[in-house]
Amino acid sequence: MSFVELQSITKKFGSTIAVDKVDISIEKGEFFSLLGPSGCGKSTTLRMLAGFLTPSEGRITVNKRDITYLPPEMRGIGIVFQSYAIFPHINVFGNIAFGLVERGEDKVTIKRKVEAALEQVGLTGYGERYERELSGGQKQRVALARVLVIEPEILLLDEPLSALDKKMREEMKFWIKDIQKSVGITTIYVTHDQSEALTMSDRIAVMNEGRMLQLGSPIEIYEKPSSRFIAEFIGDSNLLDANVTSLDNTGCEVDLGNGVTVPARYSEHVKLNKNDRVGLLLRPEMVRLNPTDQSELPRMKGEIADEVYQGAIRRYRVKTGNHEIVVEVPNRPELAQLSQGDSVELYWSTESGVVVP
Amino acid sequence: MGKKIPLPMMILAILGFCYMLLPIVIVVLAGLTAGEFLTFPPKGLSFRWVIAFLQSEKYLSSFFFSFKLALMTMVISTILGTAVALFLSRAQFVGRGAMRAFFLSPVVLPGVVIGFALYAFFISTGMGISRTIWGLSIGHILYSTPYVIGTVGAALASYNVSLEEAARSLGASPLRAFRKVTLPNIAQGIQAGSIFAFIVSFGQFEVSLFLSAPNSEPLPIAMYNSLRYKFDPSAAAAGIFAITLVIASVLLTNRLVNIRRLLEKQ
Amino acid sequence: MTEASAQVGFHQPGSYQRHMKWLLVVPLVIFWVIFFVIPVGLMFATSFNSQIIGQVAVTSDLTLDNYIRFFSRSNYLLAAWRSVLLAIVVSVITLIVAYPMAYLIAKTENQARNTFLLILVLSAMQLDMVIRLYGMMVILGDNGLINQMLAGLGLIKVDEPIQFMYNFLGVVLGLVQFALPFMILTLMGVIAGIDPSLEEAARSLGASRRRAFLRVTLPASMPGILSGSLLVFALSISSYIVPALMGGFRVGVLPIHIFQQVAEGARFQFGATISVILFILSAAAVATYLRVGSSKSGGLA
Repeated sequence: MSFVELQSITKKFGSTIAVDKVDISIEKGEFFSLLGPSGCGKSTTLRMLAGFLTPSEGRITVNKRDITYLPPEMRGIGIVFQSYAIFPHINVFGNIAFGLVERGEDKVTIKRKVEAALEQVGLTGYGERYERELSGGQKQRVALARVLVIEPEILLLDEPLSALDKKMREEMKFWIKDIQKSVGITTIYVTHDQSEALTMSDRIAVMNEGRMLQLGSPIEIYEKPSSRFIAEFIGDSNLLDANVTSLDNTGCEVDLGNGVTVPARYSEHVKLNKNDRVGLLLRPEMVRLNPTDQSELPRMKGEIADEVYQGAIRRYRVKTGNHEIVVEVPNRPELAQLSQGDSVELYWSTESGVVVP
Repeated sequence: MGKKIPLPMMILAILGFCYMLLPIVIVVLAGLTAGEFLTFPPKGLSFRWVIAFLQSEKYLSSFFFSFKLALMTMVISTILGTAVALFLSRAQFVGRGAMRAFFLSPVVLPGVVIGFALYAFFISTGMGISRTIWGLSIGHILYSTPYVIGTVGAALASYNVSLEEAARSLGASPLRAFRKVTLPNIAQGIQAGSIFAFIVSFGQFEVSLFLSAPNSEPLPIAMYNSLRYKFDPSAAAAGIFAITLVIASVLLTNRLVNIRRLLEKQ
Repeated sequence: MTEASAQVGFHQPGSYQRHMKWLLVVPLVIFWVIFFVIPVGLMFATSFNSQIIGQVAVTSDLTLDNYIRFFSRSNYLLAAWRSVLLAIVVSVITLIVAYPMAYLIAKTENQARNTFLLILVLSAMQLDMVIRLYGMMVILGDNGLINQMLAGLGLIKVDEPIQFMYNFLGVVLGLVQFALPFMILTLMGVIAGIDPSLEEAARSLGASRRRAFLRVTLPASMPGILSGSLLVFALSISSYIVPALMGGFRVGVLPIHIFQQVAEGARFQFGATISVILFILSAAAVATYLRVGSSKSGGLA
C-alpha cells in the first residue's frame, strides 16, 4: 500500500460529476502533480484531500489511516492556497505560529520554531510585518513556512505560482522544488501550467472533465501521451492525420497520405489496431529541416509558408501537400537561414513520431 | 482626468446636489439664527436657540429617548443581523435568495402600515408593550436589521474563505477558526452595520407614528408634533445635533469600510 | 477558482455542523414571524371583519364590506389614484434630477472626491426626514425664503405669496427630496458598471458625445433606471410624513387616510383595509424591483 491512496474517489455536486472514480497512489517523499485545464476536477480532488470537501464515493488513506471523513484540523495535511491566505490581521510571526499555538506548544518552542522557519524560507527579520507589507513572492514564502512549521505528513500546493509575474514564477519554481527536496515531504501540486508540472514533478496525473487520463513521469507524459487531448494540452504539437498500416509490439508504421509512410512509436497504455485512423504527434523541436547527415533520409518534402522570429528560436510553418507542420529551429548562425517559398526536406527520428488515438 | 463629464451634465448635477443639501443647510442656519425665525437675508448668528434646545424639557428628553431607543435597536439588530448574514453567506440551498428578500423586505414596505399592524397586534394580544420603548424598538428592528444584513453581507462577500480554511488545516476547530480568523476580518463590517442600524432607528418616523406615546416620544415625532403648528427654531437647533450625529456616523462608517465598494457591490 | 469558491457550502462531512449553521438564522426567523408576518397577517384578517369602532381583535365574522366601501366611495378611490399618480410623477422627476448626480459620482475617478460625494448622499439619506422637511418648509413656505426674496425684489406682493406648499406641488417637491439618495445609489452602481470603452467605441465610430451618450450609455443604464424608479415608487407611495407636512393634510393620500381612520376614528377594520391596499401596491412595486434587480443593480436597499 502506498503512502497516499485515493481509491475510486468520486465527487458529485447535484447532478454534475466533478471528479469521476479517480485512483491515485502516491509514494512517500514524492513530488506529485495534478495537471489539467480549469474545471477538470484537480482542485476538487485537492480539497477532498485537505478535508474541505467529502467524497461522494471512495476512500482516502494516508499512511494506512482512513482520513476520508476526518475534519481538516485533524488531518495533519498542510495546504498553500492560490491566494496564499495570509491572515491579514496578524503579523508574519503570528501567521507562522498559528498552527503551533493550536497544537498547544509553549512560547519558547514556538519562538524557536518560527525563527527557524523564517530562516528556512529566507525571511529572517520579517516577523513583525503584515500581509499588506509583503510582495507576492514573500507571501508565498510565508505561506509555505506557516505550513512547514507544523511538520505535516503531506504538503498540498494549490496553483501557488499563478498570482506571480513570469520572472518570479521561474525563480519560485526551483525554490519550491529545492525546499521540497531538502525537507523530503510528500507533495501534491495542483496546476494548469504544463511547464510547471514538467519541471517540478516526479510524476504527473493529467485530468480532464473529472477523469484521470494518464499518470506517469514527465518524460512519459510529454513523449508518449496516451491521447490527443494530452498531446495538445502539453507542449506545442503537430498532429497529423494518419492511418496505421502495420504494427508489432515495439512500434508501428503509419500512412500520412500522398504515398508517405513513416515508422512511429506508441504508448503501452494505448491499444492500436491495423487501419485505425490516428494522429501522428510530432513535437516542433524534434523535426529537422534539410538534414546534413547522410544517414538521415528525409521523411517528407515541403515548402516554407512563413517564418516567425522568436529570439532563441525560429519557427517555420512548412506546407507538405496535405499537411502543415510547425518546426522550431535553434537560432544559430551556422544553420542556414530559410525564407518563404524555399523548398525544404523534413527529417525526424523514429522515436520522435508518436501515435495517439 | 481632464473634461470627462460634459458641462451641461455637470451643471445639472450641481443643481441636484443643491436641491438635496440646501434644506439641511437651511436647518443649520435656522437653528443658529438670531431672529425669531429664519429670514432672508438672515439677521445674524447666535446660540440662543441652541441654548433654548438644551434647556427645553421636551426636545432634550426626546433626544435622549431616541438615543436610548437607537442603542437598544442597534444591539439587537447587530446580533440578529450578523448571524443571518453569516448564514446566508455560508449556506447553499434553493430559496436562499427568497429568504434574503424576506429579511430585507420591511425596508421598502410602508412604515405606517407596519407600525399600524404592530400597534394592533400589541393591543389585541395584550402584550402590554404597545406604547413603550420596547414596542418602538421592535418596530425599529424590522427596519434596522436589513441594513446590518446588507453591510455584514458585503464584508463577508469580500472575505476570502481560504483564510478560514487555512486556519482549519493548521489545526483550528471550526469555532476557533471563526473566532480567531473570520471574526477579526469582518469586525469592521459589523461595526459599520451597527452604526447604520443606530442611525436608521434614530431617524425613524413612519413606524414610530403609531407606536409612540406622549411620554415616550422619539425626536422625529416630537419635532413633527411641534412643526405642525409653528416653526420653532429650537427644533432646528435639535436638528443641528441630529445632523452632526448623522454626519459623524457616516464618516465613521467610511473609516471602517470602503463605502464606495459597499454601495456599488450589492 | 470559481470551482472552489462555489463549493464552500458543502464544507463539512454530513455531520452536525451543517445543521448547526441553521441555528444562526433561527432567532431572526422567529422575530420576523412574530413581529412581521403575524401582525401583517392579522391586519389582513382584520380588514375582512365588519367595522366596529374601537374594536381591535380579529373576529370570525368575515365580510367584504370594507373593500366594497373603499371601492364605492369616490374619495377613497381618488386617494388611491392620487397616491399612484403622485408616486409615478415623483419617480419620473427623481430620475431626471438623480441621473446627472449619479453620472457625476460614477465618473469621478478621484477617490477622495468620489468618497466625499458619496458621504453627502449617504448623510442626506440617513438624516431624519422631519429635519429635511423643516428645511424645505423654511424655503418654500408662504413666509418662506423664496417668497421673501421675490417680495424683496418686488416681483410679488407680500400678502400674495406663491403657493409652493400645502398642495400637490409641495408634496412632489418633498418626496423628490426624500427619494433622491435612493435613486442616486441605484443608478450609480449601474452607470459605474458600464464599460467606458463602449462609449469610446461609439465615439470612434463617428458619434458625437451627445449621441454616444444617448445611444450607448443611457440604454445601458436602463436596468438601473427601471429598478430605481420602482424603488422610488414604493418609497413615495408609502410616505406619511411628506404629505402630512408638505401637503398640510390637503393632499389626501392613502397613508394619511390610514392614520385618520385609526388614530382619529378608531376604525381599525377600515384602516386595515386601506393598509392592505397600500401594502399590496407597494409590495407589487418591490416584487417587480426584485425581478428587475436580480439581473443587475446597485444600492443598499
